[in-house]
Amino acid sequence: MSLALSSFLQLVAIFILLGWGIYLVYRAGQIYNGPVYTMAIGAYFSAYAARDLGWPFGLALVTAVGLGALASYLPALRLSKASAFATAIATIALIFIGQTVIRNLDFLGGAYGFCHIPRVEHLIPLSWIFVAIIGFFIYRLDHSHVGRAMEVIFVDRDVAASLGIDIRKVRLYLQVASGMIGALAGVLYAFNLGTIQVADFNFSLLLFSYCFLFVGGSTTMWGVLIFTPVLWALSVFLPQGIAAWRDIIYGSLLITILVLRPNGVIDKDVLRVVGIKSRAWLGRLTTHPSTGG
Amino acid sequence: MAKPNILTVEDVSVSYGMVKALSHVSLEINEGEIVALIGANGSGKSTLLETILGIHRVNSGKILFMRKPITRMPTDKIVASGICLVPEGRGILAPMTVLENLQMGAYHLKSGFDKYLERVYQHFSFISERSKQKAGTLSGGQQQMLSIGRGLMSAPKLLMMDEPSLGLAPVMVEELFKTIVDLNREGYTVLLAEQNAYKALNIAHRGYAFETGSIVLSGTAEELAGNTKVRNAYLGGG
Amino acid sequence: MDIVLAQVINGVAVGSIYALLATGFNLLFLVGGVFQFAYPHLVVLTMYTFWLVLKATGDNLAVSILATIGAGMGLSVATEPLFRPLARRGAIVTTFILSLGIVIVFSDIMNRQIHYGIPIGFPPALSGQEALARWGLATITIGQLATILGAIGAVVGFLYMLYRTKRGRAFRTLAQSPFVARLIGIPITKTSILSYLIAGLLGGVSAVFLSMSLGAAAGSLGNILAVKVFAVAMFAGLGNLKGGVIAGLILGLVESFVMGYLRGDWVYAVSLGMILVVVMWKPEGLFSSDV
Repeated sequence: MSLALSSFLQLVAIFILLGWGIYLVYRAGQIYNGPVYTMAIGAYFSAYAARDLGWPFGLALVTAVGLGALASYLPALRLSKASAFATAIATIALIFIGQTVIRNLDFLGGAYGFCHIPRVEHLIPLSWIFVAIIGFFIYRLDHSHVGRAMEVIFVDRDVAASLGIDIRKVRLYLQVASGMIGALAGVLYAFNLGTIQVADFNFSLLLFSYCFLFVGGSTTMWGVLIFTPVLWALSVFLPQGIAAWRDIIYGSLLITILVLRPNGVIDKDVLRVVGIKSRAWLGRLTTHPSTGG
Repeated sequence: MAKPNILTVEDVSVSYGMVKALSHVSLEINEGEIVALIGANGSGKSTLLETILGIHRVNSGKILFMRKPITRMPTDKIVASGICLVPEGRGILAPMTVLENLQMGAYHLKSGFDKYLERVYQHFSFISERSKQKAGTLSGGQQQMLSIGRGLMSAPKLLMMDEPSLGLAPVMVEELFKTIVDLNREGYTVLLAEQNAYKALNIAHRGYAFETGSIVLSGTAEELAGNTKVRNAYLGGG
Repeated sequence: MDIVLAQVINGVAVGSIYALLATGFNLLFLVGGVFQFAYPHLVVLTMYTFWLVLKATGDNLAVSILATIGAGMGLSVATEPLFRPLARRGAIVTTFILSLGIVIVFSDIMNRQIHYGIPIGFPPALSGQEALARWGLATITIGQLATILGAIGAVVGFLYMLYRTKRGRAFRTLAQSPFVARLIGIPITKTSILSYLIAGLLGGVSAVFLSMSLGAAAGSLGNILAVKVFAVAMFAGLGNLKGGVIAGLILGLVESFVMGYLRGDWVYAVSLGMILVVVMWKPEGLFSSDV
């Protein structure tokens, strides 16, 4: 497999995880940037554990995700009660604070970065297995009682209480889940690249994730899944001349979508049509005229 | 001599998405009249008033004010031409003072601010006393009166009111309807949407009865009040 | 004592710029109904315009300042139609996301398209380093005085307009209740556009003073300013105009003292800390809000 393709597959998996992390909490009505903050934590911790403490990859990964859970749980105690904007600004602040703290810890390489992270075999298929697992859980969540309640909360805050849903608790869990997903993404990132720098886990990463999520479709999980590869491919496979305009293209796409079709390309209506069409198609496949259906 | 026509609504239909809010509504208001719109909650009275003001799009039909079409006009121009709406739920600005609320009412007033202010003070004595108070500190009834005062400050040729008696104590309701009659005697033309059909028909010249977005009955106030269906539906029968 | 005075002067000068930025942002929040995350980036882009015009006119200050303020207003108004459909529907949370898109575009323009992404420097003469008065070791320079008077003057002028003029009352009405504003016959779109113009004007003025006091700018300045401006806005409470002014001055003063006694890195931490403290303790902001 070519380097470009493997890098593409790896980064797409990571961006999908980040996008879903943001999606989870957005569905509960908050703008939560925790995944990028915990991605840095997950990446650095697992890298340090594997290289300097000699831990096996599995242990480093699990512990990193646990650390991500803790790092998002503590702020979530307060943020679960906060408004969308307060959460947004606070979690952006956490990203910068995280960067500052890591930059000042010399044993983590400081501003120079952390390198020689041990190689892990079959990381790309492993990453995609994780994507599948997490996608499965999100799918189950979206179709559960809680998930359906969140549909309603999204549209009308007051109804939540009458549905017996404690929004605060839901947001708390989702923020922690989001943090864990971010940490996982960080681990995969670190072990794929072999070298990480504080600057990697920056505001730009966040902005790209927002672009993929909101252009793809912010009201269902499929938007992230389908549009992240499409939009990231744009970045990787753009011809030389246009490549310099990549950021402006991303920004313009995000702006345009929000003006013309704020829920993104793949919304509930699209899913319904796809569902109907595919059921019809499957029906025709499994029904043979001679057997009379 | 027939009174000049102020407002004509001609076969107007309004729908939002699937919901048909107004269906082929036609009515007329002439100068100096009090016209009452009666009907249950959600029957289309509010929608009609808001449509006249340009807040909702007319799907078909025409609206003429002072014989000029206002169907597609933007709200700010319609208000500037002399229609004002005292909305349901008072529509005052709570953080602003009573005086500032009145000043806002006079947004399109070209001249005569002091004259109109004086008139509002005459109708509502508490306003001059509390002019520097924040509007949010007034009682429900006073806020309703302030809302009317705000409407008057635009020197409207047509004064529309949406459920002004909602949530008011009976004593205040008496005050309110007395005030509407006084305003009418002064020369104001009033279009009044009211759930309290009894009181509304009591002071009105003519009326229209609404049901699920259409007008089911129209006539003079006496005719409507005497009509059996109206009596049973809105006036408690008998 | 002299050192403290010097730090206070410096703090007020910087703080008055923060106050101005917070005011512009709050105006868009209240009247425009948008969370314009890209406002600080717009201001930095305006600084770039200032630099470009200075170069083009051979350091003609008057023309450049006018052009800069014009650019601020123009850029701001250009974003209004983008926000309009969302603002009309009251989808203020979604406007936050849209403004992120604008951040991406503006940042790229500054990081890549202008001056090959190299940080820009302003002529030293601009910063007005000559001391106007001395108290022992403390001085106040022309630059600082101009900044304090100009920024505070702009804020005061704006608040005067807001509370004592008809146009200002229209702004406040729109901020308090778009529905009542319609009933009164206030032209919503025109009033909204005007608020973008004024926010752009305040932004342009900020850009001039920032150029004077910083002497340089880079694309990354947008994010740095953003953290500071939103720290101030959250600290006072989103939409709290008067609170934002006070909080801006407070931040300026705190930063000034921190810079004096701790390393420069910690200055940034002050704003970040401010944000976290507020959100954890009193997310609606420390001061009460009233328009």
